[in-house]
Amino acid sequence: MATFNKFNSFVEAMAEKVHNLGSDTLKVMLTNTAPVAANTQKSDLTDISAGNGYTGGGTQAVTSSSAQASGTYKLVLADVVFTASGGTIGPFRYAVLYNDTATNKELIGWWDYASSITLQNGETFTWDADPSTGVLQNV
Amino acid sequence: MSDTIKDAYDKLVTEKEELLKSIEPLEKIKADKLSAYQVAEKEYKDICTQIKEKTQPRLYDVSVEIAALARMLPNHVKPPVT
Repeated sequence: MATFNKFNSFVEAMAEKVHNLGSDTLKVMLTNTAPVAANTQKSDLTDISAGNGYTGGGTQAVTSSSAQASGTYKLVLADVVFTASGGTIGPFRYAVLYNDTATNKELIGWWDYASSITLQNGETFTWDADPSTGVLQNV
Repeated sequence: MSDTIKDAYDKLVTEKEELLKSIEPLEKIKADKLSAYQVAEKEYKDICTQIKEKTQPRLYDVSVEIAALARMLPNHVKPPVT
């Protein structure tokens, strides 16, 4: 999986009760516009057009674990599969994780897949979350 | 010198008391809002717990299995190596 990039505002939002990563609904959305670390909320970005299997705003990444061990917090999410059906999805280059429950749908982080991808009808794409290291850790 | 310090001290203490008094009505509203917020937060967490209990861990397992099978599909697109 591509490298995780953190939105700068996420660390403050974590400290100021914007996120409850243990119970909030987190989503992964696809975009072809490069995010920047200064972005703060979903409306700062434009995801790809809805349709052909892609839901506007993306798809929920189901939380498996939100817990700490020996003082290190780890968030583990399930993979998300996007399937093109009835047409193409994309192009997209970035997957963005955000909090759909938070008031302003605050951003968490993004992944850059290096070049734009278009899913043809019937193709699948997996946002691959590491089950052992988790999506993110807070030391 | 000592009197000057005492005067400055008394002046600041008075100012602090006035500042605290000026926010007393707001503190009352704040306490009421906090109480309502805590009730709402508990209800919110209860709902979240219900949702989790109804779906977890099966929803996570299903998502992982779907992803594992998706990778085996002939039309699975792998992102470019970064």
